[in-house]
Amino acid sequence: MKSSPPLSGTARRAALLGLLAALAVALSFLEGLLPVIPIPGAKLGLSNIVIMYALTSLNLPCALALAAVKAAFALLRGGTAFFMSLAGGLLSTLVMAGALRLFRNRVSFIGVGILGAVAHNGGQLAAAMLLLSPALIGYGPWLLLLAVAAGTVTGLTLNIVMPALGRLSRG
Amino acid sequence: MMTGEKDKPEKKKRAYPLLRRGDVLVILLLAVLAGAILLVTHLTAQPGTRAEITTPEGVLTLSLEEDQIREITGRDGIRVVIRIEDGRACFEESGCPDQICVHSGWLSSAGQSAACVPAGVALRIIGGEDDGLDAVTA
Repeated sequence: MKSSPPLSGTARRAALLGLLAALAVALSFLEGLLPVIPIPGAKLGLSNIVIMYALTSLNLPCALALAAVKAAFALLRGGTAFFMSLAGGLLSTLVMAGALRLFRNRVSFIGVGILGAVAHNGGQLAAAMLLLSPALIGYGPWLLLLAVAAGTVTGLTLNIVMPALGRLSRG
Repeated sequence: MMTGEKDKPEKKKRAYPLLRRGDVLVILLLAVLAGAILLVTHLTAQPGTRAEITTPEGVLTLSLEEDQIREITGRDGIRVVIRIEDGRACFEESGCPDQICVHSGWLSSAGQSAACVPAGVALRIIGGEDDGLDAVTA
């Protein structure tokens, strides 16, 4: 039964963006409760699912805004965490947007998610190296491996739920 | 696959396939790259001689020859304890919430590092000549 009138384009997008922002923040908070992998900055990157969805159903500025909102919440964990989140989030969003544009027909969300996770970890590592110590470069290869694993998990998740989400966004 | 397309009704194609060939390529390429870097780092690893501790106040260099325990008060008053023993160094304790630095464990090869991001303290092992002095540079 569809009695309620459909939202107009702009209102629908604004509502969706707000919903996704809340979801991204909630996911990164939830993830913080999971047991820590003994490598700095190593996380599953569940909010990457939200960013990838925003890139396909909304647009790049919206996805970048989501990354910024997420970073703003990282501010609660201090300035270093904020800059690390911002650098990782923005870089990964840009890389995923590029990957979606260039390799759309070659890779699924798994490939896009992995490239995004690599960019995220790279951005975070670069920020941490600038703010703390260049010696952290030693974590690079481990972070790369973790990004492959994390990107596979987030990408596969989106591959599975996307058909359902697609129906949702068409309403 | 290609030849039979006209004859039989095409199987409904998933709009979002679970895995594509390109995904496998991305996974393999990056895993091999990471493995290669790790292998090269491992093969070229040299035993460390000093521990370089970066704190918000400055850099502290300690010899790995002398077993010792250093207590450092980092950013936001977070207290970290660095232990040097048998030519290795580690974050023994930290007042930070995530304990990532403590989980990093012992470091002994030149180039290895660990950090406590909340306290702003980084630990790095460096190799080469040990001048036998504890150096402090601000």
